[in-house]
Amino acid sequence: MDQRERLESYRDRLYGYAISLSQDPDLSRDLVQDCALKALTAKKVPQDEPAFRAWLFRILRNAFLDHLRAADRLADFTFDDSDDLDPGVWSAEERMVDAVTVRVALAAMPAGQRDILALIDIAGLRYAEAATLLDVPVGTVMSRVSRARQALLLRISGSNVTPLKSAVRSAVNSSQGGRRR
Amino acid sequence: MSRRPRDWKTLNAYVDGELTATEAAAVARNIAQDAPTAETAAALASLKSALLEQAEAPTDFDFLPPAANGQKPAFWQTGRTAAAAAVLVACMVAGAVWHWDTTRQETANLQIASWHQEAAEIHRAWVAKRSDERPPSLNIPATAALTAPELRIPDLSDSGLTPILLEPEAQLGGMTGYRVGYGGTRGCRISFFVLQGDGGIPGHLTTLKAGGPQVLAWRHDQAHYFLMAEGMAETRFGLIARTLQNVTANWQPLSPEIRTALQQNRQSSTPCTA
Repeated sequence: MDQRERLESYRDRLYGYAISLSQDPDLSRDLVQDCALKALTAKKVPQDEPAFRAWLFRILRNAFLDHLRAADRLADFTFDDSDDLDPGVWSAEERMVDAVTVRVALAAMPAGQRDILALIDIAGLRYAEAATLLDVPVGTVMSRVSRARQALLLRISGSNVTPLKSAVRSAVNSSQGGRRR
Repeated sequence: MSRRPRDWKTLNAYVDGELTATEAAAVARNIAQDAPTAETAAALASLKSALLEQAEAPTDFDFLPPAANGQKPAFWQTGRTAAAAAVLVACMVAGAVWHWDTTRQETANLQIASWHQEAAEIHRAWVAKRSDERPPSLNIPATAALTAPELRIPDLSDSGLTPILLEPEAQLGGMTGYRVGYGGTRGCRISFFVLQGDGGIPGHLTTLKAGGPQVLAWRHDQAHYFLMAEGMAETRFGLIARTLQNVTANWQPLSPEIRTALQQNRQSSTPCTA
């Protein structure tokens, strides 16, 4: 597989990560294009797939941070680790989630929470890879993931978007088929 | 019916496949024996699946530049190319970035077609009037950020272009702003419109094609930008547009890498033919 094919295989995940971060389709296109350009013109490219994946999403994330920095909005991009994790409560019927519901709820979350969820669930990074990228311990990634998912579920349960039962079944069926990595 | 999972973090890690075999087996036993835990794990898996569904790019989004002749760039294959050449290739790719994305966005929107025609008429009238003149230097500093913040003139001298016209009250498609005319020494003329208004141009580089001059447009916040030339090498025009798009996002001076890319691209490009 050459470099272009490698990049092409990440097309959807790169865009999904970019849109999760920016919530802006135009900016997402620019970010992914800039990321591809930098990847194609890089002198050194990681060969093994996990390192390549982490490297690629780091490029995109840095491009987004540059954008925030230029707009003097870098302070918006934080993850508050100070809150104690509360498993919270959410009822069984509220656990039904589908892509539309998740999209709406995700968009309303703080950028830092969107970032960690997107890195793990959209980009497909392992905890250790995300920890390296974020320069935090693996345990911190573990905490952030669980806290962000809890926050997402609470937002979903509080949203007025009605999950589609067929989509829920599809989501559940898909989840039983294993992770896409 | 409310649930409080026994160990929320561990259950998340289990769903993510991040536990050791021993830990995972323990959680699996717990799931088999405890219905609420099993429901929670299923809900988390469902959430992961729904999140993964967010990873879907628009069907018209080709994010990779086309490789020349179906081949990878030479420096890709050898890894021995000098940095300057890499910059030049990068700049060529940058031109391709513009090309591959925008050629798919040839819009039939009548309003945009109208803008194109109006801008083309303004540009051609200016070019025709000055066609026999050697471009004089305009008595304005050519920097990325100068004078009043609402009147900024990007520095394109690295691309061999200097500002030779400033039209402070330009209008286009009902929008108002200013236009800068750049001239080179090999017949190249560029019109750069900076307009405020409700234009609806996308944020990414968009080609306005209705025949005639090359026009690229983009938007940043409420400001709309149109760049127009005729007969300029496509990669050069694309690189200039990409450069200006970045400049207009933050109005910072050009980086040394971009300046080098503009210089080398200009040296390798052909004179404007129109």
